[in-house]
Amino acid sequence: MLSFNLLVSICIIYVLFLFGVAAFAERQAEKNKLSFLTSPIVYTLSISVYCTAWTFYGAVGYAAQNGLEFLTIYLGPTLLFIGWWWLLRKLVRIGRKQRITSIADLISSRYGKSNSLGVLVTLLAVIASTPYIALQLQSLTLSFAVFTSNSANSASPAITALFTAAGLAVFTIVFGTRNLDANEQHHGVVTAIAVEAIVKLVALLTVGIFVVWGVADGPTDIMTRISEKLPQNETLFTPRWVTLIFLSATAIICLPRMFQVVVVENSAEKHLATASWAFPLYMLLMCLFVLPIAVAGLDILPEGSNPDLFVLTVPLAVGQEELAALAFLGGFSSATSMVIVAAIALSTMVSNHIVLPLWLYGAQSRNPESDDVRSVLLRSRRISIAGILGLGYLYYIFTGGTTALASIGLIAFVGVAQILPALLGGLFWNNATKSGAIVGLILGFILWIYTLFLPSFDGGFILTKDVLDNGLFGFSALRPQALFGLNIDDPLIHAVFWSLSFNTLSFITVSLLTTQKSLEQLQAVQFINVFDHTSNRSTSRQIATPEDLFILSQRILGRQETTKLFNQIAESQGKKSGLPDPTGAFIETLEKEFSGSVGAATAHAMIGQITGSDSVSVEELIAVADETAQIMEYSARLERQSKELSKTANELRKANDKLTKLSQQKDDFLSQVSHELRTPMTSIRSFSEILKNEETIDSEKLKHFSSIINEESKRLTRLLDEILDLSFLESGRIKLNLVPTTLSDVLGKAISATQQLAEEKDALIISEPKAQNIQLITDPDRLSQVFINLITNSIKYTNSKKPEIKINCIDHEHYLDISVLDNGPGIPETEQELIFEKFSRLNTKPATGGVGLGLPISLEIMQNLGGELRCLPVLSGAEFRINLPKYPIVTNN
Amino acid sequence: MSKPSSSINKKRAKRKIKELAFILPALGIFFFLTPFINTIITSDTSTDIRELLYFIFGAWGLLIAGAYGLSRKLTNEEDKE
Repeated sequence: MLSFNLLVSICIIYVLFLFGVAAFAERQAEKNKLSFLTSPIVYTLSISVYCTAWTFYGAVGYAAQNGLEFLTIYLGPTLLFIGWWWLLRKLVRIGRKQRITSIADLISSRYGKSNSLGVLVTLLAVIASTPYIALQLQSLTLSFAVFTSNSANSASPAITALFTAAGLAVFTIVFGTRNLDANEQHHGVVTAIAVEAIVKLVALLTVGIFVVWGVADGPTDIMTRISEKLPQNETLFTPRWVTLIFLSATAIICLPRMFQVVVVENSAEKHLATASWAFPLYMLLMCLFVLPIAVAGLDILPEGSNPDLFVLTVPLAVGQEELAALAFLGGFSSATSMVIVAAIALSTMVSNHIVLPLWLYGAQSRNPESDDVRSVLLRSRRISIAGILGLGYLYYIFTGGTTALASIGLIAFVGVAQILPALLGGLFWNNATKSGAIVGLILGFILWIYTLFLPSFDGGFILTKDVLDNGLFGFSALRPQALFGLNIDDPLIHAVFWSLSFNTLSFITVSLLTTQKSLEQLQAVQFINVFDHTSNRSTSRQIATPEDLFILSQRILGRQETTKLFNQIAESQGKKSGLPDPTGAFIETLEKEFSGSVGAATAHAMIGQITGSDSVSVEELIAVADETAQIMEYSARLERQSKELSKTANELRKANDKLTKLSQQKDDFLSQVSHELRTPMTSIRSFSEILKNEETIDSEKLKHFSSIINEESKRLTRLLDEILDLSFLESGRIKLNLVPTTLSDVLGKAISATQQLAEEKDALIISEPKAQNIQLITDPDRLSQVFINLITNSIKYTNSKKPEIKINCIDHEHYLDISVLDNGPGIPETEQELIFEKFSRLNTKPATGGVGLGLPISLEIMQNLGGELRCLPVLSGAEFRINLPKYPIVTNN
Repeated sequence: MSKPSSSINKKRAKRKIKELAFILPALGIFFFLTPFINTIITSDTSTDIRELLYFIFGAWGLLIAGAYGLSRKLTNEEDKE
């Protein structure tokens, strides 16, 4: 028989080996060498943490006592895994998308990030897991006892359980709380669990193969023995059979440790596909030799032997100590892996949902800046792990370590199953509310405690034997295992019926009677429609490449802008060619650029998605960007068209104004022309009538009247000539005679033409000598006409006794500035524009006999010569400025 | 005209694969969670546990094989998408 010390040594060496595996995996993870650690095989093996000591030892015991019923514990998970596409995939997707860290976090997050729900689920999970941890301690203690029962130095079961719990706590603390990962993933522990999964499978298969071919005479013999020895099931489809399959399937998603390995530790959704067949296969292999071992134990061991220990005692009974040691190691692996993962999952829940909120509440009275949340979390997790194992130990001590392993496991299953209505409601029912979940959970939890958990102590804890037999306060309707008079023989079914019925009904009813808060509604949509928002493809961490960023940027900023921006950044990074490296600063710049196009929130989300670990692929982002670009293009096109329409409308409005103005001008012109024609015509008609009717008119009068008629006729002719001339000038039909000339010729002609008038008025015309020899190409007649007009006006309108007209010229390279300045009264500033209007004559000016077309004609001539004519404000007198190109590009108005 | 119809056929095939993902657990429920399992016991007068064992493990293996095939098809479809 193996000595106690040897057994302990085997355990220590095995644990050290696991330490090594976990440490190696952690180091690989730190170096980012995750390919093996995050493979589907490791993921599947880690899920096998479901197969605990209950499976390793308990399944054989269960089979020995209840025949095929033990299979229900594995058929439930099988059904769930082969249907992974419908439930587990959704859970994993939500877990990844919402960065869920535990089952409590999931429920809390779904119902509006309610911390009260988080606390409730945590408490329920801790209490429900306590019997399960106790089960592992019990199985380890029993297995130690098998080897040391005859040894003098064997420790008592309580001491063995205590040391085992302490050892497991140390291992879990060391590898489960080394650091805080944002995703709560523990590569070291998971790899160690995967190794343990192989050890327990190999151990059980080896024992099984030995039993079939070593103890029995092969498969046929063992099947015959099974048929003869094991309890026969007259019918399998019983309420218990259905209940157990249901509970075991529920355990996969509701047990904190299973949630941890299936959802939290999942690094890629694809791994679920592998697990969908590989994990059921693992369970099938684990179950394959359960019945042969059970029947062999019943066959060769004395009556009354503990069937839970047949895996160990059968090899020992036939002298196979090495095989027994391997089996012991398998059992040890089963128990330790469960305890480690459960402790990590529960401690995360306790620290996140109970300790941290309390600490934050207390932090109000402290200086938060000096506190380190990280160390608080790690410390609380370490203490929680110790506490959880302590609770398991206490349960073991209270129950005396005598209950069958399977019974203890089932108590835990029913406990965690209380989370199921809130969980499924949260995943598939939009109207499920936080209040409904809280009421359902509390009612289910209380009923589980009252009908199953407390009775499991058999009157030794809180509920006395009397209460169990006669009900609370003596009310038989309150008997824990026959509640409201419902006598169901099986306490398990009784507890499941009442707890889950009340839980589900109250959850539905309260949800229908209450309304969701806005955050709950938002989370409900996020959870229920999780597949609408994300891609099904690769969910592994995506690192943005410069090419990805370039393509995305093109969609948002446009090709030119993107090329320019990327070139600038590449240059600033010291790269002479190629795309810039996707550094933090670059991505920040890019996000800012995007913000201008798609808004800060969208830009942040897009950059976050392309550089972060979310599950939206780059291709999808580009598609989104394409759509955005398309929308923006439509929008820009509409804006452009709108601007064009607005511009056209504006032009039409201006044209309309111009036409109205022209029409008004035409009316005014006709009115003025009529008026100007009417005056001489009236004179002519009057005098011609006198001449016609007066036969005795003397010759002097005749001469006078004839001269008036003649003058008025000339005036009429001049007026018509001017009107015609203006009309030609305005329409641009005038033909200019551009020839090389000198300014002196032009001015000389003008001065000569006005000489007579100047002499009459005693006016002095001073022409600057500098202007004399300036060469230019122009129409000399037309230009002199302008000068004549200006000089004539100056002479006519001056009231000075000695009128003086100065003509100055400034010679620029390409043009001339010629001013005609007089010493008259000047032109008021308000009327300086008006004088260029047709037929306008200043009110302040005396009548001169002109018709008011001289200046408009001069202006038109200057414009036709490519120059301009302006009246300048001066202190005394009037100044007209002619701007004349020396070599004009003649415009036709 | 061939392109749209082949695209429709592909979509139909994809849908069928996803529907198969529903059939498999339904089949499992039929095998293990309906009174059908009792027919295995009562169909034989000897009521031998061995036949029941063969049935359960056989059906279990069948479901695993189905899950294996389906998982490959589903992940292939996902990769294509």
